[in-house]
Amino acid sequence: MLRRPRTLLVWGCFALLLLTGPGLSSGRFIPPHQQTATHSGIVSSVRARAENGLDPGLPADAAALLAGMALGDDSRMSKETKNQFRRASLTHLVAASGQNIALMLALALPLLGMLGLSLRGRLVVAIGLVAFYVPLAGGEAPIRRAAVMAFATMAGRLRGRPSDAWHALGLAGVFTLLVDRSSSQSLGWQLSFVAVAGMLALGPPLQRALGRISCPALIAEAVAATVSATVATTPVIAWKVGRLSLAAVPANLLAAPAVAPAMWLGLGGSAMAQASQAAAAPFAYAAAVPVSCLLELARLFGTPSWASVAWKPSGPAVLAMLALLGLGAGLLGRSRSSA
Amino acid sequence: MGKWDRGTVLIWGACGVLTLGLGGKWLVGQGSGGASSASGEGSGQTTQARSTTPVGQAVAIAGTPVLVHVVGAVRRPGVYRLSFGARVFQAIRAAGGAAAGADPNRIDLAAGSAGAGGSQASGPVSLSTASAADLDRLDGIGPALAARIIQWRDANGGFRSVNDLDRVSGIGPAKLLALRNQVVP
Repeated sequence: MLRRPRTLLVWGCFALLLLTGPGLSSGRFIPPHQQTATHSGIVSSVRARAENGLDPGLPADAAALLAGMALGDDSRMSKETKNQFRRASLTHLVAASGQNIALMLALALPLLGMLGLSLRGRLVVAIGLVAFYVPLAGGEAPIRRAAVMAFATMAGRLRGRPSDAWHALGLAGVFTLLVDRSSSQSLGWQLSFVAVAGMLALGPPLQRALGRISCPALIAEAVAATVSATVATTPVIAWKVGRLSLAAVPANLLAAPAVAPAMWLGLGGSAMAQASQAAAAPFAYAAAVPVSCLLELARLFGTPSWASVAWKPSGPAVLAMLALLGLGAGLLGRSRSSA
Repeated sequence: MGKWDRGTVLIWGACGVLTLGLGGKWLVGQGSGGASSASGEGSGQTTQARSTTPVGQAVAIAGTPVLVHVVGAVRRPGVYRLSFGARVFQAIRAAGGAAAGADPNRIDLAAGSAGAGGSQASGPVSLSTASAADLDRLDGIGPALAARIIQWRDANGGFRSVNDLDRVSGIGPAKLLALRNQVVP
């Protein structure tokens, strides 16, 4: 994973910034709504039109969740619903992060292709889209991390060089810390990094292991991504928040099929709302179904008392757990290549 | 993508059924709740359902009997016909009784329900008298933090000002700011 010298260099810089900065554990958890930058001018008017367009009269919780998924703003969700999402470990859905950008690009690149744009043209437009989406979605640390990774990957493709995801992740670490040294204290930033690292390290071996027991590729990919991200973030959540969500894996697995349609319809509706509110309404109504599915899952998995138990491991214990996960991923990958 | 063999179609179908089923279930639940508040003759306010607090809310006050929308931790939330002046415990009984995990000590079971408006306590929470459950319900406080606040109160002889919260581990300036208008000493 860290074979190339330039990747090693990037990770070295990242480690240096991390160690000389305010650190990981000294900081207190700052709730996302207090980190949000104030929007101004064009961004705030685009955002306001999107928010209006996405709420043509849906039930309050559904409208709030849809806006949260598309625009990364959970302030309109009721405390009750937020609590259920937290207990079911589904909160990442309403935090603007890599998932938003990945799904946005998965939708935008083929659409731009249908318009007849060349690969180069598509990538340039996509870079512009991401650059505009970051302030629109609140511009917090996790989405900045995701944007740098997306830029690095797309720039690599523009130059015809396949870029390495670990390299892109290291670059994202360096850039987000250069922009704001206190990023490393935000829980969202930490979880966003651990989730991506988990998906990169655990995902492929897990997917191959599932393939070996003749699991269909589609399911293997989704299960591997969901499980690896959830498993990697669990120790960090326990360390910072003092809770262990036992519902995290089943809730996230069952939520997986609803996330992409909800996000796509929410982003599509936000785009249509720039033209007219009426054009956005069909998107919002269609999104009501997957969004309601997520609300029902949060209710089912977030309400029972076993969903979330108190557990606060110490910092070294968390590091040991993450190292163990990395070792497990390495062994899982090794057993495949030697077999 | 590309291949539309039987397995792939089955997976997509299962995902679709799962999403539609769960989404439909939530929407139907919302639908009945929405219809009941719509049936109130302009006098009812909507009340936030709390997971562990049964709440009676008068929807119509004119005439007897009255319709009461019972939401929260009851077995069968919905609109029930009660006689005017019915008490909260009667509203809860009508709704199938308190749900498992409901805490009946949080509300006054003898409080007026029908025609008397919602019975749910509101306003700032007093740090000196609040239980861990009361604190847990505040924005930004979970069960662990609520327990630490109580612990600090017991260890230090109570809160003299809201600023004392800053000395509880896990509460920083940002959280204090968010809590400031939700609590009193």
